[in-house]
Amino acid sequence: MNHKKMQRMLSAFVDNELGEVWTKLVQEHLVECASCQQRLQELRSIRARIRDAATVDLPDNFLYSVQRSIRREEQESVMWLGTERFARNVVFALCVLVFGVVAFGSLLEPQPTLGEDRYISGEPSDSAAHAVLGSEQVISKEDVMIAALSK
Amino acid sequence: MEQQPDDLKLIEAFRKGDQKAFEEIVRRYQRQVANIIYLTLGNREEVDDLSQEVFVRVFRSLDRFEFDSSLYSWIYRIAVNLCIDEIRKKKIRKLIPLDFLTEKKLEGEKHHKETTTGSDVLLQKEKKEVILGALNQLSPIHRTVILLREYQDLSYGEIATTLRISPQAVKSRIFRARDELRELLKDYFQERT
Ligand SMILES: [Zn+2]
Repeated sequence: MNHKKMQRMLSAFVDNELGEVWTKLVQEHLVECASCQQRLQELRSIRARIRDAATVDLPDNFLYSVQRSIRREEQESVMWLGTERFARNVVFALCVLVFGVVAFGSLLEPQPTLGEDRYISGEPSDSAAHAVLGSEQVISKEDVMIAALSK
Repeated sequence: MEQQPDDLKLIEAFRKGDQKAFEEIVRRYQRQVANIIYLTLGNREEVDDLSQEVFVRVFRSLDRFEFDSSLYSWIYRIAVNLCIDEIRKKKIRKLIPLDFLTEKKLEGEKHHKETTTGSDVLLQKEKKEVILGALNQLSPIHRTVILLREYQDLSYGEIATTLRISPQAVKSRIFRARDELRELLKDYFQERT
């Protein structure tokens, strides 16, 4: 039987993952092949060494630390939900306040429009119209914001 | 896949709110989880924290466990994924130079000749460092596959379910991982076994 092929089978053989037929063929080959016998020994040795290296033990209070960590996480999620709701309300209130003040201010002090000044000072009429249009744009943006907030 | 009858009862009890059931799950698997993390990462430092994180995740998602795998392979999957994330984050593999093995071996042998007492302890420690160093040279997937097989003793089918790859892929990865390990430990085998 082909030695190279048998050698490739050894990994699955050592894991008992070869079918019955192949297991038998490998066993027969092993009897007469020293090289494969050594390879098999090495594979078993790797396993033994990995198992020997697994020497870690967790502290005695491990279970307690897990439970504490779960509790802490639960508390945090409850707190976070509360904090989030509070923060959302504060931000909303601030927004209303700021836009309220801006809107109220602009209603109380209607400034003389730039267009009038420039018209008087003799500037070309279409630049004065631009300035008027510009201020109209500002007002309309504010209107949109107030409308959005009051929803 | 085989389900331990006891594990099934534990899951059911947990879902009914029995705290003792979760405690039993932790006790049953904590050592295995700690060691798979230790062998995968190659150092002791993060083992406690990561093991803790594994069981916190188990607690959080046990309600959604679907019995499509055994409880232990499900827990190992959580542990393995956490380790792979950790490796990706830190690129631990790069921390261990390729000449780690030979250097450690020579150093160990020098000590071995010099000291007459406590040589067994030293030899044990040296052996452990050599195998951890070799495991660290493997790619994360090869490392994981070989550990689930050699340490956790999972069958190819169980490893396939745990890692969500085909049994054929498990077979060839184990083969390649062993080949790499054999190559890395070649000198060591020649002199020690
Ligand atoms: Zn042979």
